[in-house]
Amino acid sequence: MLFIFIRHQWLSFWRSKGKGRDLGIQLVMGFLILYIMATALLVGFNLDKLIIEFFPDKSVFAVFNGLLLYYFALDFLMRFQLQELPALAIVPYLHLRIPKEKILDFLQLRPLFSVFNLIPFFIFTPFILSEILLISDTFTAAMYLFALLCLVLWNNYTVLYLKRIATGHLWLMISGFFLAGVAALLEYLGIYHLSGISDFIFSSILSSPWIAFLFTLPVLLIFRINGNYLRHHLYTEEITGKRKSVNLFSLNFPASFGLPGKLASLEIKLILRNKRPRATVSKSLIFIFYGFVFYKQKELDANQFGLLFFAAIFMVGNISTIYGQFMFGWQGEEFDGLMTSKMTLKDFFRGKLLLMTTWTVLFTLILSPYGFLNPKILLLHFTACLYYIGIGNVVVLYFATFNSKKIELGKGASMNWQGVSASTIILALPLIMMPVGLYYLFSWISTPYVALYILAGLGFVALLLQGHVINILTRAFKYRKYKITEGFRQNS
Amino acid sequence: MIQIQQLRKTYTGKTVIQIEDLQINAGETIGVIGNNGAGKTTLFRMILDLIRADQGQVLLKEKSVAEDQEWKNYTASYLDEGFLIGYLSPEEYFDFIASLQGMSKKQLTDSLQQYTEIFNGEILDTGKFIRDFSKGNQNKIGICSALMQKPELLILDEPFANLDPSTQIRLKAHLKSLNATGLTLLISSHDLNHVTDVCDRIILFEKGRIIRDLQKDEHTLRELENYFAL
Repeated sequence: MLFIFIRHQWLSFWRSKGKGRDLGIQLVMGFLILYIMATALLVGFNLDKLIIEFFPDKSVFAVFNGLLLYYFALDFLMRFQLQELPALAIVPYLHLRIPKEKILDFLQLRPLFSVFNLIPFFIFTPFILSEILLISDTFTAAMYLFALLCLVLWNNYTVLYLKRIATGHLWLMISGFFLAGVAALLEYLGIYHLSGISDFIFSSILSSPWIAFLFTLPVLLIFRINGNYLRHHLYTEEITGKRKSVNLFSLNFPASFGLPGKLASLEIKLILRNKRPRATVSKSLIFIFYGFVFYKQKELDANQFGLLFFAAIFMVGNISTIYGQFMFGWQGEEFDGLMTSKMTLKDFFRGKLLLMTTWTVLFTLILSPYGFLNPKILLLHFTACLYYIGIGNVVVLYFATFNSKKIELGKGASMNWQGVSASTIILALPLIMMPVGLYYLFSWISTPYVALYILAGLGFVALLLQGHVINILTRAFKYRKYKITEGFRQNS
Repeated sequence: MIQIQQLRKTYTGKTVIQIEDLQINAGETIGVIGNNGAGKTTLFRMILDLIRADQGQVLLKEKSVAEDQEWKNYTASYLDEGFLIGYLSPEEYFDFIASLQGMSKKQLTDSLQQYTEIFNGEILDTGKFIRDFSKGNQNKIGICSALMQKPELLILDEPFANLDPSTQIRLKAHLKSLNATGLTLLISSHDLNHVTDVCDRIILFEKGRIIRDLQKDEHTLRELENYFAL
């Protein structure tokens, strides 16, 4: 039975509409994974040398043992962000002659096929097989690997479980982040040291290897808890969280914006009332802190704006870009209705641009406190803003017309907990890199400041010509309209 | 066959199912009718353990469907397209269902042979995935895959909807012939003629409650028409 499930997943991947696009993403993801694994192996084989290099006055084993829990704490956070919950559409199987246990088994075992579960072995196995084996026996090395396996499984199932119960419970999520923050702060203040705890635990495995068997207890426990949770919630409506009382809250554009304003208001409702677009938009809020990583005084002083401009573009425009690349797909379910209703395509696109312009400006305003770091940042943001409302958003919309795969907002997304994954962000990167590339070109021809002025000026001119720009967009859209509507009518 | 006691389901304070007591014996053909929102489909989903009951339980052969899964061995159902696997071809889907029933390839082919008339040459060997069929044809695929399982209990939600007239007539004849072999049938429909034609017993729902439970006689159709005309 498990084999059949896996086969069906395989078929559903290869036969999905928009396969070409998916395949592209899969290829990019595949290369990334290969790259990460190769890096992990490289680190793994040189771990002893690296440790000696960085901590020349400490015992290699103490550092290695101290490192392990750090790694898994980091691994935990990474998984929480990136690991996706198994999204087998189980509805077609529930009423059939298939025991629930089989469906559960699948939901439990599927996530084991994740690259996250491989990487730690790539990094740590070489060290264990060479160094640890050198100072102890085979049994100890095996127990080390066993402990590693247990930690991997523990992280795997704990993250799945937490993600499952935290879905739709914003407070759980926030308090979780808060706790993690407190733990990090205590570590930072030196109240305790994870490395000490880690060293203590793994040193004891070195001295009395059988201790590693104790690791199985928490793993079995979380496996059971996870299984129990799934067993008791194998009702689709409980998983999708439908049928709860609805919140009619929304934000509307004033009537003076006319039909485009109405359409933009409609889209705001779409975002507020559906899990996937909501997650996509709310995740982009996290990126407003990117500036703290990128804005360095040294580069600001030297007027080297390249990387800084990238950050500015990313913070101002990422919501437009990430949400906008599926601009029509979000409305895939009702697209036929939209296209046959009484409105012109021009108004349709005006509505889209109104929405995108609004949040571009809004983000620029939200980001303005960065000006306290250095007023030059405001110029960067202003340029990014003008570029985006004039050109960037239009480019995003143009590329969105190539996208004829609808996005399932709620229906069919039972057991589909993911909002936005790594792949959607990767797809958005070229669109974000474009203005940065232009900046480099212009600053190479003249000076960094002039490059910014040119970009802002181009954005401003494009904004003045928006009427014509919309005509170009509608023409591009009309050309592919049938393909798009056709694609949306297919169930993905 | 089916026993329902004190069954209740509430969504945001609104009761969608409230059944004090309902017994359905083996071999009965039950037609469930009622206007939209009467709770027909919700009841079917609760019988199939797809919705958790707030109170009470559904017993099939005296065993609670939520606690014991034996019902899956003798129950077949088709409620909507969600029961199909859209990215399979009809042949693959039938094959999958057959494998769950432990049917051989030969048995499957023989079984599908029975439905040639219903399929009307539009289902098999079309080189299409299920998701690309029209609603009516999807309906045929779902109903036939349920019939194919040779169940003791068959549950169909509005089986006649979206079907062409010829298929409606053929399906009715087929369901009647199955009833002669002792099948327990539970269907819902908005078409009073069809239901009274196929079923011996009609259960009328309103706002989640059973308001009539009739053994069919020559007055039934008239009575139902009078109820709905109000």
